[in-house]
Amino acid sequence: MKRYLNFFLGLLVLFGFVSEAGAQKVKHYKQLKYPALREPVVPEPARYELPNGVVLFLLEDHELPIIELSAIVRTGARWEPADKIGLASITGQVMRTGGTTTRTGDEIDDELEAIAASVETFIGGNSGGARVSVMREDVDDVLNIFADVLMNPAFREDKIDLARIQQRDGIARRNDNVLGITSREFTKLIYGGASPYARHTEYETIENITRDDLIAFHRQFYAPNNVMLGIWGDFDTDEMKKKIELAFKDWQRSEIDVPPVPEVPYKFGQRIYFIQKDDVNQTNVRVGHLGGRIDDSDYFALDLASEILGSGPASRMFKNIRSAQGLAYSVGASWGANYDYPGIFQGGGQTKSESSIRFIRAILKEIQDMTESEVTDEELRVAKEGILNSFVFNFDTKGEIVNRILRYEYFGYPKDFLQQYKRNIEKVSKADILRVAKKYFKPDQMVILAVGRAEDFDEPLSTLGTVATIDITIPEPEEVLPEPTEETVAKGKEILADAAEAAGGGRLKALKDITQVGEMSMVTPQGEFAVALESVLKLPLKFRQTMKMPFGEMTMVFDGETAWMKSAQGIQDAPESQKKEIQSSVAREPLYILMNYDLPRYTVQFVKEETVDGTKAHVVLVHDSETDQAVRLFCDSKTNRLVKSSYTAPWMGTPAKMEEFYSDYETVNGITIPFKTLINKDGQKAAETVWTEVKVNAGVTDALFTRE
Amino acid sequence: MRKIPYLLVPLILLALLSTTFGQEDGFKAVEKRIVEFTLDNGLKFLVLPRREAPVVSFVTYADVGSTDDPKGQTGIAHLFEHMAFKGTPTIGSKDFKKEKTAIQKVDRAYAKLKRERLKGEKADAERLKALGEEFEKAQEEAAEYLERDEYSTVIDRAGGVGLNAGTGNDMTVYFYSLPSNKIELWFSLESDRFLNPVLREFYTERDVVMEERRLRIESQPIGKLVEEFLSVAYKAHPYGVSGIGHMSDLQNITREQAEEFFQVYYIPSNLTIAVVGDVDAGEVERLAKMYFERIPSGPKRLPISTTEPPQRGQRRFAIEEQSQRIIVIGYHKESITHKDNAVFDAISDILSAGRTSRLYRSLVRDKKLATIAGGFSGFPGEKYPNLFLFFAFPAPGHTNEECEEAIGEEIERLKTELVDEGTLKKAKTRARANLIRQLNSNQGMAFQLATYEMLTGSWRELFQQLDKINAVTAEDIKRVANEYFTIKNRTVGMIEPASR
Repeated sequence: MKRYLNFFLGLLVLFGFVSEAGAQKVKHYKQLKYPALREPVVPEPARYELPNGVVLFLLEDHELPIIELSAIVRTGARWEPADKIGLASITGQVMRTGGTTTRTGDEIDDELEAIAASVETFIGGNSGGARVSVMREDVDDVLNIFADVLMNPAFREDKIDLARIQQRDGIARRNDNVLGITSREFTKLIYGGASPYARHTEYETIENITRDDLIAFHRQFYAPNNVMLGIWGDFDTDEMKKKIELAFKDWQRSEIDVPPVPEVPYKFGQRIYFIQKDDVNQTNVRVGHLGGRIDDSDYFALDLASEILGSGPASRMFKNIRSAQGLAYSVGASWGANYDYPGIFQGGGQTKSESSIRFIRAILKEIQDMTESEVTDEELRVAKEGILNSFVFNFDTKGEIVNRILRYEYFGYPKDFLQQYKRNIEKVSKADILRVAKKYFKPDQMVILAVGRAEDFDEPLSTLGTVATIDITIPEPEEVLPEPTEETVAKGKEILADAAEAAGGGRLKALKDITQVGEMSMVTPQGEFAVALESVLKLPLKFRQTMKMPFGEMTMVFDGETAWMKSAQGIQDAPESQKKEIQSSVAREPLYILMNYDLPRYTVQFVKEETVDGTKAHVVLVHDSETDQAVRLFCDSKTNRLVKSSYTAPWMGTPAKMEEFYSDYETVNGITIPFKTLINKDGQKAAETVWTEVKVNAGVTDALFTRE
Repeated sequence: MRKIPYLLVPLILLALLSTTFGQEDGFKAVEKRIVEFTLDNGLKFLVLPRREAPVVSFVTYADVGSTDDPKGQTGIAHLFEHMAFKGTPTIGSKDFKKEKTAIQKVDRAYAKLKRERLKGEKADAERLKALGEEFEKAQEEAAEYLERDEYSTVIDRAGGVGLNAGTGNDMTVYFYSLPSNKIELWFSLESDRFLNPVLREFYTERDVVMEERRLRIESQPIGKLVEEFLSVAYKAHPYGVSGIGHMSDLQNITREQAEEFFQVYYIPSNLTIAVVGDVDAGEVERLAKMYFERIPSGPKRLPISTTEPPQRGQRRFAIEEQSQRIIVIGYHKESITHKDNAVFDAISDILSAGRTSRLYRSLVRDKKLATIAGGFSGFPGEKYPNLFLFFAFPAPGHTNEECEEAIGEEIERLKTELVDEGTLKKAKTRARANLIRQLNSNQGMAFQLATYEMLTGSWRELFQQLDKINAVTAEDIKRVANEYFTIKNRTVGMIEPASR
């Protein structure tokens, strides 16, 4: 029975039968009257400017025995060179991890972690910064480390290498997560792929970054007059000011030339894009166009408009698309505004593949509706009250207060901007919202991006308009070949001449054909398995390879011009890509190179000495202009025999770093050849070939290379 | 009259200022400020007044999680959590009497549709279509009485922030924060929610949950790995079953089942509520009695009796995904209340906290095999015996197996060498600092207090865990490593990139 009490009470309330319930009665929310909120004490951080230009904000907070610090530095990835994307981020990281001139990063780690303190530095898109957290009693030591890191970073090479590995890993993993793909690609569609606000790292841009670049980037931006510090916690303001002055006293002011904030050119228009992702059953959708800045006079009305449109459970998108239609777990929209460059107005979410187009239409409709009629009084009230009633949460921690004032000063906003925001929000009317929606939301000029499985869509994406497909294949790093000099070319040829001599000398020049029979074991996810292999090479250039597998025989033939495959299913022409790969594989065959490196098609140069499995080797880089590929030959400096070759080649469709290791040399008919070859792909064993029988100049006839 | 609390504020602030954390009595002072009381119906409240700012955070911790999902209804605990935002008879409806009838009609239509659909290939296509339409129509009719999302809108409008909920294997938590003049709003809404929730728009919300499953599991390589991993690591205990639910279960759960689940598990003695912020404990108690004692008490359910049997041998698997490699390695261990739990916490710190941790230094810094590596205790929950989980993201060009071997070396080191004093001291220092830092967040503290209360039987454990970590010795670590980190007790799961 008790269960229904509330129900009846509720009905009474709804029908207005109860006036004001007594003080001790349970109340429905509509009956509640609230006491005035205790005005939050909003302390103002003390601002100082030290003689060398460091701007300092201090705010005491004695609740807990902790001291925290935030720093902002005027720098950012938007000012890194386009061919060195990642420089700012790596600089921000290695500043700390690479240690200082007097202590290594590892020593700093040991010292800080023993006292549960942290000092971290970073550089983001439009600012750099640092965070420090320390127990009160350790503050002196930690401030010294922090100042040292900012002033005297050593950028040790080992930690740059570590950062590079992490960057490469980030690149390799960037297509693993569909949400990440959607955000990244959508941002590029709005700002342009080369924009400082959208571009991202590639293997090549990471390769381009050197230690000198880090040092230069740090020197360009890190000076006391370009740094602001905010500190809050358990300290005395005067004492803390003195501590900071002392910690940074040796840092000299210097002229900082901050580049201008990059412009954002934008052309409105409808554009639709698609990215195929086979391994998902949900479509990620993003629609939008360029947004605005926080200091635009219409920002406040737009902020409310986007609140009503798509922010939180009270918004139209949440109610109409999630709650009413069950189309998405997350759906929303926001008017994107930044402090000093335009943000992105965007909406989106994810829905099952089978409702993709319906979902896109539903999102577009909500945006369209905002531009067609006024929002209701109730909607405006809910949105305004939500912002105004939660305003107190802007002041509930000292950290928020200090960080906000740092941010406002950094971007040149008035320090009472938040209070201005509140006053302006209060003033916005329904007419204002319709006016700004009409002016700024352009539902017919949206950029639309869908990421998912096209074959499962409810309708083709093209029903919405012309679709362009985006390829998100990660570009492999272009191998940078060192410029050959007279000296390196001569030395390279000399080494290859020795290697050719070791392989047979005159007999090698007279080589007509070579037949190799043996076994190849291949590493697959299911384990290792072996196939019988027979390989025949006839010069000038014919090639035939037969693999005997449990389920039958497969033969591949290249007759110098055409290539085909023969199997139980009959004869099939090899696709052009495969033919090319066969030609490439012959062109990079060490024996073939040793016979022909003097031909004009090959460029040969000595690169360096390197140790291969304990053997000192000369490394010679050979580039073949006909197949446009480079292979490195590693020649044993004592025996002159080849111990290794390395090159890039496609492996199951994607380029891979291949290495071949040669061993078990034997001489057959005057030609010295390796009987065992280990093949590594990206550092892992992929296959191994062992020859049991090798015939040289056995008089192979052309019949082997003709179609039957 | 309202002025009185204002005068009290400076006094309380003064009291706060005088707490010193130089010694451990800092925590004692906090402990002393925490007020606990239990209502007649068994519902427990924990209150920590903290008057720094006029805001307050609320956490309702329900001792029910996906572990309690009945067979064939996996995901129902989580689905109910979604439904708890749909309102009550007086919130969310234009005319509840009519709405109630309409909802019953939806229930009946769905029952018929489900029965026909479960015939599978033998289902009558014509009939299916007709029943589908009937079901759609019934839902449309019920929707006419909706005051859609009124419950969350009221909170949003009142200035509520961080409104959300979460379902774990062990628990379901509901939380948000309000300006402190509106605490009565929370009492009104939260008590109503658990007194008489109306599971309206159930089948649409079920669609939303399916989208959540697609988002978190089916379209995420890591989501797939974790779901697979748990099902391999557990063969008996429900920790092995997907918390968000199997798709086919989600497709068949009915509103009545969710309602029944609520009746069984959302009894007052299964709830603990933590309130942290600008409140007066006496006022909280007065309101708690008034609002929450309305909820009738019920029989406390029995805990799950299934225990995971000892593993008979190592379990390994790999899934092929369009993803780079990831490896996870789990070892079965005891629950949070076991004496060795603090030892595992120390091990977790030594192995994976920060750049001085052993796994970072070995796998990431020195061997450069991985970009991230770590190990932590309490996966996927802590209430029942759970797993200590190691993980690594191999660096480009390196394999899961290489990482596994390097993790194995660190485990071997724990088993054979005594951890040095400095390392152990660091783990203890950090445990203390972390606890101090947690005190800075109302929401965080509310969550911690309720969690410790429910999982260990007392919120005081939150503070006592420090003493327990402080008591851990190097010998304990060696013993625990030898006892638990055995090959037989191990499950290894990995993602291998699909070759395409």
